[in-house]
Amino acid sequence: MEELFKALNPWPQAQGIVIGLAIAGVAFWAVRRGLQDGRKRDAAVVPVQPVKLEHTDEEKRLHWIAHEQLENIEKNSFKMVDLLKTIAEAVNRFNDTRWNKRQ
Amino acid sequence: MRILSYYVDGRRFEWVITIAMLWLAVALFIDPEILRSSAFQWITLVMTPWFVGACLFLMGWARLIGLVLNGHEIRGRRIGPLIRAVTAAACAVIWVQFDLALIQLSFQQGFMSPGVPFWSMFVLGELDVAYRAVAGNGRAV
Repeated sequence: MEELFKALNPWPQAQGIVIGLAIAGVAFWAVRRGLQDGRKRDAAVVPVQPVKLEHTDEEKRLHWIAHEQLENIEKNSFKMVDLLKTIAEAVNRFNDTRWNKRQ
Repeated sequence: MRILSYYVDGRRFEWVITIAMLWLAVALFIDPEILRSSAFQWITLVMTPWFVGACLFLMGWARLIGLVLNGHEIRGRRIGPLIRAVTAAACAVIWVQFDLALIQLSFQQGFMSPGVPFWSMFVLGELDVAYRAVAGNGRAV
């Protein structure tokens, strides 16, 4: 490589043009290869097929119950948060008492 | 921050180089002497500073458009990755000229310029971007 550069040293313009064209060739090949690989990757992706699920009456009933339970949780979520706060306060109080006893 | 991540994620190298290109292009338009009086003076044997500035500005602008399009479809085709790949290929050719200028300088001064490893890797980085931009259809591969 060094000999090549030394040989080209007296002609920097030729060096710039020749190596520039070589890099342009490699870059063109890279873009072309990238496009081919991209097309291959897209072709390999299996398209999503829409599927219609048929539920039995029992499954529908269970779904209905699940939704009722979710509604129940949604309605009582603020109460649950308040309860958790009360529990956290009680734990903290218990911990403070324990710490004070050790003094 | 979320919108910044949307545009920059996976394309940081390209954004950084694009900003540097536009910055250098503007600097060259203001004062062409910065190329003639620098370590890259050998470039001016092949291309004038105005030509280098114009090339950097046009390629930087095209690259910016490709990055901002970011996978948007135009007439059913994702044009952003293609613009990014083509500009990366063109940038590789320009960066190799910068690299050769430093190699010429290295031969003249008798020791390697510290910029040679960086510019050589920039060329390889651009070739990698040229491949990845289209291979992943705009997504990081």
